[in-house]
Amino acid sequence: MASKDRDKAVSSKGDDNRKRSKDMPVKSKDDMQQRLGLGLKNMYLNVLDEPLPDDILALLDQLDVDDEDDSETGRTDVDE
Amino acid sequence: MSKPRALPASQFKQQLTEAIPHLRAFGRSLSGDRDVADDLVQDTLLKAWAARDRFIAGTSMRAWTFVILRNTFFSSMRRKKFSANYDELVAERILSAPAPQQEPLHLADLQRGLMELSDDQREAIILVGAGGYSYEEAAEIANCAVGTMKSRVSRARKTLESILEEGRFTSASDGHGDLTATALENIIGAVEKIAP
Repeated sequence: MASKDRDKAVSSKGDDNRKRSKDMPVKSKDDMQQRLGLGLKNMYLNVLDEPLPDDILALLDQLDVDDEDDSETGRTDVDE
Repeated sequence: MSKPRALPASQFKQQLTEAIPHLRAFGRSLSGDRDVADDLVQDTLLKAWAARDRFIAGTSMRAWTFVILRNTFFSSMRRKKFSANYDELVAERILSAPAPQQEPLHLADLQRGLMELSDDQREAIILVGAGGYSYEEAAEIANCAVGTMKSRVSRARKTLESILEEGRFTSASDGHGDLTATALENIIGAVEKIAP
């Protein structure tokens, strides 16, 4: 019964959707949400796995040194 | 009342170093550009180091530095120093989010789709959907009400799903024209303050 209702809903969406469904596989909302969630996490995790660039490592090394050499300089506004 | 305890410099630097990969991921998702993101990270590191006596031991270094990075990004966006755009290098790195019996979701398309969102919505979906922050934590980082954050994430999800399903990418994706959404978010935020 439920599947008949679902079929009915799908068939009532009009010609445009029917044409589109021939070209593309039908994806459920849940599938899309799952893929989007996985995609976002993968995008983020891929960057975490990258080695740090040399210029950032050099900057890290320089932080202590700059601090000692430049102690009278005013602090930067974090809330800029 | 006792004064909040600051971290010794060595411990601060250690925690700052551990936050860098997350700062790069956040910055890249936000700006859509590898080089811009790394410039943002460097600015963030310098500002964090300069303000280290304001960091409270025991709180989240990652969240604290995310605030600095996003403030730097949005401030620079206003000054047009940085512009959020689509990075061709990112597009070349077509990596897939595995999902059984489905065509893969190309991360290049996802990055492109993100750049179609308003800045606020992009930040929201990155923090909650990619970074794994709770709505409360994300709202604190973005300096908005929790209801506003939920609204932004919901809108971002819907818009992204629509874009990715239909392959609808536009050139008008700088995200500065979403005045209706902003007005609605402000109303929701105001209502939440009155009746939490």
